[in-house]
Amino acid sequence: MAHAATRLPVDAVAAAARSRPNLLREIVTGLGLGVFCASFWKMHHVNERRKTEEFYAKLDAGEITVRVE
Amino acid sequence: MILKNIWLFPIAYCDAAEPWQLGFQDAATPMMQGIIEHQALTPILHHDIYIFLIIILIFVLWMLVRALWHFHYKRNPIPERIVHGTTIEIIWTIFPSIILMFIAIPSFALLYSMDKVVDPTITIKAIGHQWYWNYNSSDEQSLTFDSYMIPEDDLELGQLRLLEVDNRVVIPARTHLRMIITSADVLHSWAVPSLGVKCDAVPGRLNQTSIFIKREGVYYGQCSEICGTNHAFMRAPEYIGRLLSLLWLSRTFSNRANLGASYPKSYRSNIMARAVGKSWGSMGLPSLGLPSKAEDMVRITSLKRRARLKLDRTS
Repeated sequence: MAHAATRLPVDAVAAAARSRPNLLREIVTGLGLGVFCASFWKMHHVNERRKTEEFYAKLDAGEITVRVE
Repeated sequence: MILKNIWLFPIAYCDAAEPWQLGFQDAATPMMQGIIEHQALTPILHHDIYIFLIIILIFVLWMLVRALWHFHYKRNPIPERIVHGTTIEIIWTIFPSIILMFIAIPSFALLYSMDKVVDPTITIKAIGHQWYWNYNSSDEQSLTFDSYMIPEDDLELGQLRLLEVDNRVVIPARTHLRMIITSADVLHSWAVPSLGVKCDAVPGRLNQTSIFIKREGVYYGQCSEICGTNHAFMRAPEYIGRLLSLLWLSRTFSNRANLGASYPKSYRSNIMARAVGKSWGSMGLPSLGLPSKAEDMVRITSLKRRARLKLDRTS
């Protein structure tokens, strides 16, 4: 049996045939990762929007001011 | 600029360019909020597109890395002989088109709302020159003045380098305004990032844009069309949006006035103090017992008359 460090070409071909990539699985995995990362951005966006709406609500209610006294 | 603690972290609103700045300046108009992300029920441009951008970026990087992994010459010594695949080619043509449609259609509402001019209270004309802006309004009283950038050597402590001007445009907040932009010589562009405004100044043409400032503050902008050697030293105006619309009439002085002298400093400082919210009483002027806006009108007229008398006496 050949040593792992000196594989015969036929072994490599056999290994490649066994581990043939599944395109659909890769696409789904990639999209899933993309959506997962985009969810962090979406959380940031929702937080920013909440902060801004809170700021303008308090400004209109007179609780805070941007004027220099 | 205010500091406000929300969720343990202070917020400081940024209405001017900051060193090493990465993102947008903070929005002060509904238009800019729509461009960035903040306003409810308004199409969001940047944050919306960014979601698609992240998904596509991660997806493409994943496919690239996995292709390099799976088809490495040691793992896959015999190269693939795939030349085309009709189904996947159709998918990767249609899918980006659908994504573009999801991006473009919401942006139309924002695009058309930018062109809409809601019954403006004030119309201000900004005329670009090499290398300063001239502002003019003929609404209530004819008012015209020039706005030059303050050179670095003349800056006072706390002023921003390459952003400050000698005569700022003072305009009311929470009021619909119309800006008419043109040029007297070459192409310029009047841009204030915080307000989401960028309008080209074209000689022989009047371009119009509408502004509604939601909060008071000082906003900075820079000329955005190459116009000669001092293009980088030509500043769009800074706004001090205030609720007191009458105060914007106060800018009737100019450092290059025909009289050869500017209005006395006390006149300017009183008007500017009122513009940032100080009461007339705090400036040592007794109350007239009139409604706020009427009192402002009387005070400004009286101050102007006194300032003019003082100038006549000294000239």
